[in-house]
Amino acid sequence: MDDAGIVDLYWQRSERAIEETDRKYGPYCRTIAYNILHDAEDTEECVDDTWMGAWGSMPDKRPARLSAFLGRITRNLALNRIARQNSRRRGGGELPLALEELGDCVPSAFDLEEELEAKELEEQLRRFISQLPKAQRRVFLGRYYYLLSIEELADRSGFSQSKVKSMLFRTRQKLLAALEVSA
Amino acid sequence: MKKGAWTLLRAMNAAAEADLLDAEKALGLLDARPAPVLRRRRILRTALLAAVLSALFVGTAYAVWRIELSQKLTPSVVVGEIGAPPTETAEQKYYLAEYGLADSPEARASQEMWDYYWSYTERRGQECLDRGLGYYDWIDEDGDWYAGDPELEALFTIYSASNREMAEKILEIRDRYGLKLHSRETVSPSQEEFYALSGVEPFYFPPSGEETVPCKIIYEDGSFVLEGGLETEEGSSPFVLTRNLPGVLPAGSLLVDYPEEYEQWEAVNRFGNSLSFALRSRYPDPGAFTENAPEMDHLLVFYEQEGVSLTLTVGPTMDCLSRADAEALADCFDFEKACGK
Repeated sequence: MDDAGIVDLYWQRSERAIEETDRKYGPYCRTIAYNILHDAEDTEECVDDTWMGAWGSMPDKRPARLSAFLGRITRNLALNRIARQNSRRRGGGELPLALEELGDCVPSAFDLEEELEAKELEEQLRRFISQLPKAQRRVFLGRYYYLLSIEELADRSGFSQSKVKSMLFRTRQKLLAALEVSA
Repeated sequence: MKKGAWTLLRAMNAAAEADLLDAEKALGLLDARPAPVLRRRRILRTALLAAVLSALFVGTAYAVWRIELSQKLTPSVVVGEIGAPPTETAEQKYYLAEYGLADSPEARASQEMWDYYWSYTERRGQECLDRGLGYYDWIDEDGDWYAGDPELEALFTIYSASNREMAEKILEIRDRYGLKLHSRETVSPSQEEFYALSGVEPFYFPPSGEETVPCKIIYEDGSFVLEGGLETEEGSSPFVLTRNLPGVLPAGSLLVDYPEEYEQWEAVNRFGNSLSFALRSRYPDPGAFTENAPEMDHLLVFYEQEGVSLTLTVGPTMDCLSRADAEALADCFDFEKACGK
């Protein structure tokens, strides 16, 4: 079933909406959740919460492309869940590595939360990502939005692992420079 | 973990939808498409509206069409699937001229550029594989080679040149055919930007009454690419409408295979635009294709006026498209206005 058909089911308040969503986007959302949570049980709960989130926001919203809409909800819920967990349980998967790498992008002696309003930072990141060359943008989102491992990212993008690392390094340098301008 | 990293990671949620869709597609994050299902697509939202539009759609003619598909096609170097090894039964693919007919300078230059692109990327990719590297490792994606040069940067972002060697080849093709290159593209422009750059009046009138023009890319000269989904009772029908102006090397490439499978006709839509249709369709019989042809329906609609070319495409898609679907979709656009008249 295509996206508009699934959205119609949500608008009709049909429970089939959840079934169809799970059939079409279950694996995609599970990948996003698992890459953050690294726990099968948490992942299932997070994906269930995503379907409930979608149920709650439609009607009202009529997303044209469900993948980005659902992926964003999943990612948000998974990050919320991680934030609630104690640091002992945050040890697995790509998240700690990605966070370590993203630390390179934060200017020294610069408190992001204090210096930039959340909306302002989001807008700046959104523009930064959109202006990246296509290949860099895909690799950057693959790593820091979808939290793919370097190995998987290399496999999916067609670049070697060393090339992926070098692209990410250069993009992080660019982001650091962009944020320093804001600082 | 450095303070602020978590904030950055969270803020990535604000990435633009178009960028996420592009990344998830390029990285293969979505599932494979569902198996093909034959279903009668109804482009129009209500039977009443369908009847009204059918009545308005007049003037079908079968003897002559203004633009034949064969006039728009030239053979490409691509045989079979891109990136897959050629086989004895692999089909020849053809470039569809995005501007004018296949013998126009714009189309010939585009054909030459894309032949070069496919041959070059295959050769360099294979060299990398032979050296144990990634297929795309030869790409100089960091931008050092074009830094500070807007023309080279446009070749990178708009024309897919991945290094200086490719950029120089495109410049050579441009000069030989006496064309210009696009210098700037705006992705997902606002409606104000779209109308200001294109200089057109509103021309998109879908049955839903939606007024937003779904522009994906607009270039500095007003050429554009629209990507939309026309809502139907049973889903949506994704389409692409491109507008290309004379004297400029088109940035896109559209490959067509099995041209003999297309049914062609000419008709006038409800705005009085005389359109040329080419449709590869299984409707109403999904077994109607030859055994070699892929079961993918494909619609092309051509309109030309005063040197401006418009091409409306749907698919290739697993959905079954009929002539009525094609004509109903074409009824959503005032092509004359989209040309800028």
